[in-house]
Amino acid sequence: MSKRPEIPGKPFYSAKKQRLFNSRTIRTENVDPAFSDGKLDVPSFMASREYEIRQLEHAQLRSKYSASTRVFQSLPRTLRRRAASHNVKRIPKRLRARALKEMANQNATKKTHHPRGRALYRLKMQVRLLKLAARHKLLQQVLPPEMAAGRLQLRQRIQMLQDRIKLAKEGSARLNNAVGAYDNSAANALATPPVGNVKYMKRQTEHTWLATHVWHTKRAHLVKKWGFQIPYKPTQKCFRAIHRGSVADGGVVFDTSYFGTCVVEAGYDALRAIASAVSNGKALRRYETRSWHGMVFQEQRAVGEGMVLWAKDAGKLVVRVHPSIYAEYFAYLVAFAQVRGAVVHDCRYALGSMEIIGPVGLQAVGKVFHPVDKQATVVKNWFKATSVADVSTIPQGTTFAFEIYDPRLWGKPTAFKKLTNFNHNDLIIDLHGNPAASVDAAALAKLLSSEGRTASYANQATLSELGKRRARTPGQPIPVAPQDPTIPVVVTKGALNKWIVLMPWFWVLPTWHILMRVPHVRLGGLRQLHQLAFEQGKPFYPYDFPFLREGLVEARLQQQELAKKWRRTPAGKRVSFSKVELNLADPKGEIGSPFACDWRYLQLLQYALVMLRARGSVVTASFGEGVRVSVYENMRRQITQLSDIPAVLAQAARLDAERAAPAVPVTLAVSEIPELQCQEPFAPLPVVQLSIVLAQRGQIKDFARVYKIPQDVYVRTVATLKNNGTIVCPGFENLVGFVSSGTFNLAQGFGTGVGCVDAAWARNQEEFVLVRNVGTDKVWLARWKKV
Amino acid sequence: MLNLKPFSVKSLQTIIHLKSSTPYVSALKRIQKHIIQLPKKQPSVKYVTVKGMGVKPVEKLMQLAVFFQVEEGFKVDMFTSSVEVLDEYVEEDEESGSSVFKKRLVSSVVMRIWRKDVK
Repeated sequence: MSKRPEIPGKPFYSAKKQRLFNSRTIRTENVDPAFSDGKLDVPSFMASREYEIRQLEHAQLRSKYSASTRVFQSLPRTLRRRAASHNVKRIPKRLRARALKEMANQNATKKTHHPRGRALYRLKMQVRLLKLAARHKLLQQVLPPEMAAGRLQLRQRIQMLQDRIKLAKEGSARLNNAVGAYDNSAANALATPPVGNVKYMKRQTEHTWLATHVWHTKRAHLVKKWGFQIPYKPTQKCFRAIHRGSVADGGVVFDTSYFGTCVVEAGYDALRAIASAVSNGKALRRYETRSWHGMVFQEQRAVGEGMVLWAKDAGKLVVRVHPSIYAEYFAYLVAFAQVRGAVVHDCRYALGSMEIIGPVGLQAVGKVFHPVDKQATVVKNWFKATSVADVSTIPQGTTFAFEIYDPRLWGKPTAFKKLTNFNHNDLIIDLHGNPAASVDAAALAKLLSSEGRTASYANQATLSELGKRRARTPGQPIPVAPQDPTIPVVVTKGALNKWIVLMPWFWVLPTWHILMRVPHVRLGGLRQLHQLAFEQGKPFYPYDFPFLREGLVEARLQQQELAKKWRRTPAGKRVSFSKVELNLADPKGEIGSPFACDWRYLQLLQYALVMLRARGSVVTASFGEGVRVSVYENMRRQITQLSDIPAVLAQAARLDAERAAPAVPVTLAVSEIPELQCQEPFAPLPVVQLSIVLAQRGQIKDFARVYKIPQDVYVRTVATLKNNGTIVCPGFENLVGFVSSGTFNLAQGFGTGVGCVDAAWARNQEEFVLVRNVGTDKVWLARWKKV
Repeated sequence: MLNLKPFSVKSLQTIIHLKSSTPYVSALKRIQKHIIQLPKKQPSVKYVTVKGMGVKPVEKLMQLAVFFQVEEGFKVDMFTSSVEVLDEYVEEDEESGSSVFKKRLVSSVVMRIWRKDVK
């Protein structure tokens, strides 16, 4: 430790305190010559005050900069990255030198650590590996997937690279660009995940990085999900900002390259059959000229969210499905298509996509895209569409396809001239059913073929090349050179007023960089997509789809996490769910699991109630699939009165916990709802999706329980709650469903929720339901409707 | 054209659209708030514009106009116009059948409430 400079007999002041003190001392003129003989000489008084004011201003500045501020603190809020601010790579490049200087001062006394021995050797080898990788990239080579295998030693990797470099020098095939962009697709098989940079290769073996991964890591939290590292939510709080951006005054952009896209190539009849199978007969006829968005089907069974886009002229069909089901769905499509002589190309890592929402969303894309042929009808209509103020009036499925130049040539978003001399409704009519008006068939074909995408990467410029070219025309966009590639893009309107941009995988990042510089455009993640669906009262796949396998998996993961978190909390600081007293009749405790929408509980409850109603006849059930659980008749529990049910359900829950993977407990109701048959194994309970809106002030949270109002007290209950009275929570037998996503809805101005209810009850068409949050006994009155 | 004005913050702070579901008092308060904030947020704009389309909003707008003119003493201008809207007709029997767009005109009213401090 350094020794403090102490002065004998005087208290010690730190240098910092002294500096602060100096900076806050303002010099003044004590004797004012302007004031003499009781008279004030105004001009000289003003002159002297001028001196003081200047001193004051200086003092303010001195005070501001004397405190220990770091360079990242001078950034605007949106650019600040407080977390890991010691990492200069998280600070914008123009401020890095200063940040390094500041940190150098800070750690002046700290002894630098020098690795020795094995550690030093390993570091040196790693440097060698990186140098070889750089040389490999300079030779325009792609890293083989074997490079990323975890079992390889460092030296094996080096050897592998050296061999490949030797081969490359001898003249093996090279990429057509210096940035390492290549088309990674496969026919009738899944494409191999890209390896990524050698430095970060091992981190991508399980979960592939998006092209914008590094950009996102500085600004957002990411989650490892569905084989990708997916942006989850921006680091900054943004609940309100996202709402405003999506509805009122901006745009929100999502990198959705993690969605799986495959391209089916076949004759028209085969394509029709495939489109019909995927969309359950919907994506036909009028959807041959516009994109279709909805639930995709596998053997007449809805499995997840997806999109279908026809490219009739190219004899192709684009099927874009949610990443949670992609691999399985791809296998199904291949099997289905091969019988019909079709080829399915996996373009999961070949086609990237972005989604953009909000009033300036399409305009923002318009500011970044510079079409090649400005005189083409398609491009003229594109310019018109980007000039429309209220893009929500453009119908869902409207699709544009054309070719653009590298957006980086312009360096920043460019304001285009807005067209005002056309009729907006005529544009919509023109585009309807006339693909030639909005889709450049050649561009679409180029995007959907491996050769076309490869051609789009030809001579893709590196940043340094662009910098050199820009230096030749300072202040101007870089002139387009003949060797510059043209990029095919598709812009199509999806559900919930979202615009989906499809482009070659390695063009997403260059476009993204420019797009994020458009004013009022914000970043969003998975959670924001959920929020936007919720605000429009729509269920969000997979979280609000408990009747699908993926929905159940997500719910279970979430349940485990929440339960773990709850158990870690000290007993005094957490809700004792087992002691919640809902009403006098029921046993104490939250009904079902407090960390999830307990669909299994609802399913068994409804079966138990059926048994209770039929107790005249002999009905027994074990609720444990043959497990002998009790000392009742025939070693099975019997339900003879209402109070028998809680014990039965509790026992079933215990048995379920022991089982590895219980079956899906609910199913989406079709038009005909069958009577529940009390035979094990119990069939899934038919449910319908609903959106709930509170009819009084209050709040809905995730996992809120939905009760029907008992018939005998229906009118009285509604009247009491409407007049802000309170009622006792109804008994467990009135439970009809759960709210899977519930919170304050900024679009509505009050609490709303999305969830599912028992389909048999939903037939009754009652206007009101009761909603109760987990762990509380307060019930709210709410209106509901089917989604 | 009405729908081709590029998005601007200015229009956000000076134009209010009424829906049929907008409650009367909510509309009234929103207009009042806009008028109060106008000198600060958009000093160059002299009036707040309120637009309504269709039977219910037009009626509501008329009532609001009377309120602001008589009770609050504002100078109020009213303009009537027609707005062209588009309906998509889809074949009834089959969901994936063909569809047609048809234009339709809807009556609308535009109200201007002038700031009191600017002549």
